[in-house]
Amino acid sequence: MSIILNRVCPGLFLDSVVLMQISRSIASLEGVEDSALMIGTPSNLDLLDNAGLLKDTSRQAAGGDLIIAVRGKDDTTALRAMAKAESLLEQPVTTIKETFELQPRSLRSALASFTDANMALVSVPGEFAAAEARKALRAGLHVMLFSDNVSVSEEVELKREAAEVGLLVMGPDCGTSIIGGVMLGFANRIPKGDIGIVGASGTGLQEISCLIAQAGHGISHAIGVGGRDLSDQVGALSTLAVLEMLEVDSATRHILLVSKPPAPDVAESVVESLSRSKKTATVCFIGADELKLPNNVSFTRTLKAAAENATGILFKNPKKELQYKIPKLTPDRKLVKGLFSGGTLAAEAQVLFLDQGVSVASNAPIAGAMQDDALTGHVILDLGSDEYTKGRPHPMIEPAVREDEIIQSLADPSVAVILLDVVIGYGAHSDPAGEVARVVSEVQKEKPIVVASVTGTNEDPQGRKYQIEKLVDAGILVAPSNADAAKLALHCIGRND
Amino acid sequence: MLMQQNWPFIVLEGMIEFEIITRQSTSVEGSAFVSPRAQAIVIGTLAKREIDNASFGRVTAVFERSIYLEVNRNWICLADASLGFGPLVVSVKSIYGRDWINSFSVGRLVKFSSDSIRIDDSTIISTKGVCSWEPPKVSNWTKTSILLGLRALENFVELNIPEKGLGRFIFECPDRFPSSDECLAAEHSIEILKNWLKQCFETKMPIIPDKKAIASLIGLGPGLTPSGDDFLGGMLIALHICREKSVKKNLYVQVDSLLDSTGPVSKAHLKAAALGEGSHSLHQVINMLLKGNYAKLELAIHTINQIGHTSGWDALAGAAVVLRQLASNYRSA
Repeated sequence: MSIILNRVCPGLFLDSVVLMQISRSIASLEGVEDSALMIGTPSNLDLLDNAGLLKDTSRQAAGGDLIIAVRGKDDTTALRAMAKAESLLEQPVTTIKETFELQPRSLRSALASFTDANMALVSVPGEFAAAEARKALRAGLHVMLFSDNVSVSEEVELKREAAEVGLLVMGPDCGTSIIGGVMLGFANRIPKGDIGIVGASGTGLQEISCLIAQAGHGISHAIGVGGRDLSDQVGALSTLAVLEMLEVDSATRHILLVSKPPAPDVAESVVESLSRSKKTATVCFIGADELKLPNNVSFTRTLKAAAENATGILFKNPKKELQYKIPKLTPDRKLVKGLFSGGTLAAEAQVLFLDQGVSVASNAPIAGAMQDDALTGHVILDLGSDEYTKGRPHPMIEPAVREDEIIQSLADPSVAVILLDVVIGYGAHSDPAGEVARVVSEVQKEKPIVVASVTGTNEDPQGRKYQIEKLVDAGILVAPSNADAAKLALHCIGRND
Repeated sequence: MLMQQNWPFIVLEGMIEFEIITRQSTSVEGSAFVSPRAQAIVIGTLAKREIDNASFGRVTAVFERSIYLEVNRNWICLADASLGFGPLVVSVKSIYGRDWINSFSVGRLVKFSSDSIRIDDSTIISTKGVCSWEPPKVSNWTKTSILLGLRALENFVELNIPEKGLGRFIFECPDRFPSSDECLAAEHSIEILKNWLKQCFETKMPIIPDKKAIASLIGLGPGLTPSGDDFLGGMLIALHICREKSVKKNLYVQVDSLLDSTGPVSKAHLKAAALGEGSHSLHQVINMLLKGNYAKLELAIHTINQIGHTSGWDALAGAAVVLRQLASNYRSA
């Protein structure tokens, strides 16, 4: 027969960890069926009663009293457990320690645990990021600096310091890298291959690597350098370092560089570096005018063209090969509203519009486009830019931040086409297409055509195929690439010649 | 459940201030006076009020990194600075570590003067130049920002919820987490309180919550501040921060009538919560939740993990229940 023992200790205050440790310690004794140490509040008296641990004599206990409750299989066991609890209570608090599994909370402790690490990924608020990156460099580690809001001067200092000791700083604001098949930040599962990518653009790098994968090819590495690396101030410090690394990397046959148009002097030094390469290369400066390039280097203005060039495969033309059923629009619906989570994808769409002679405005305009407050015509927004994400998640992580814009555009009678990107992969939202489909499906009345593309692969956790299915089920026209989606949007308004 | 906290990093803004205060205080003490064992660097609003209005108090509990004093029948805490700031806390720093705590034992009389805390005629803690702590200011919020904040919170804490306590009620669907004894005992009451909040926010009418529901939460769980009390404290603080003061008042009317059903430490914390004050890190997390600020929320959540064994999580669960109901049912006046 089970025996219950209680002891009420008036005015004894012990913190919960100590109480829990003592409780565990006595519960582990052979023959002890249950035990608890709690203050004697009415709610706790009920808990103890329900657990079969309360004696009637303990019911007078109050909130300032500690109750030790033990239930053992017999007298001897219960008495032994109570004696053990009492002896533990008499020990100084400091002698009762619990072993916790420690997670490293600093670079130093992480290095102590992972002695063979050669790279640190720094993702802390911008004001602390440079200091952490510097610590990593001084510990002999390459740095991927995921954080944004790092000043240009700090970026230059870090990159110079890294160069002096043969290390690489990827970033700041470097969201994507795939190094030797290891995905860092926002990245997609891409087969191994012989194309090495260096990118000053996260979603650009993702779109190209995914298009390469869709064409049946693969990559050796995809290395982000941060959006400002090819600026005048930074002078492509990291890009030039990566080009040297890819040059000597035996797994890399072809080098692909993707970036917004660089400063002219910087472009010259990058091209000069590529001209010395024994490998072929593709340079994709989104929306830039063609450069004078050496024979081993090709130039493209779009991500799709860059992937075609690197793989040597011409991708399908959706207008001819896919039969889109394009709904008829009312005459008032004339405008395209692009709502992008990827900045480079928004830039590529602008290139396609401008190449067709269609004026477009953006909050992140490329050369030839206008600021978004300049006109009321076609607009392509980068919703991942600072003005939309300050203190908010990036729309690739949290599609809800794009929701209001989509709802507004769906309700706008002047909008003919809503053009969207859906970026999947590691680090991205678990079901971005599902979120978009839900918002679009909620609008039952007559609405604009919605055109989208999915940047990703079938091997990504979300599965590109499944994401496309969700969009199609919601009546969204899905193009095979971002460039094709932009062309399809133009086609819907009769402007794709 | 409040315990002696291990707080390796106070929220970073606080850390900068903390360092400055420490340096100033040390220089004063080191040169001009007989050196006390320790220096009070920050004092909470309620602790200050009690000490200013009393000439002595009595030690009621001594822990590894803090002690509690009964002053004017209210409890305040003298704590090592690493435990962070709060309304009831006098944060103490000493070059001798935590040796100052050894001067106190349960039952001992402690005297207060304008610049010191003394035992017999010895100054144990200098309070000269001590800074006041107040809850951080709250910025504007919207329904969307709260929903974003709650969503982020669910993402960040999914793997960290303690087994014990009421932390699982942070989630909109808590059923997917294992249930502790406290959770099973609290579940029904929390559901009743959710419905009560829903009615309050929808109707904007003064509705008093069910006393039985609150009675079954008060004093529920082990530790100095039982999980049920922490949960109610979190609710009170969140309602205060969101300026839902009439809803808070109606909740506290019931809590106040049941205060004798819990322990004295918890009672003191609930009284502070009724004034909208809790530990500094809880305020930081609630503020970032309201703003939907992912980056800072992630940083602040680390400090919640350090408030007691489950206290921070329990209080955060109470706050999350309020914010979720507020965002889901909010009707502007």
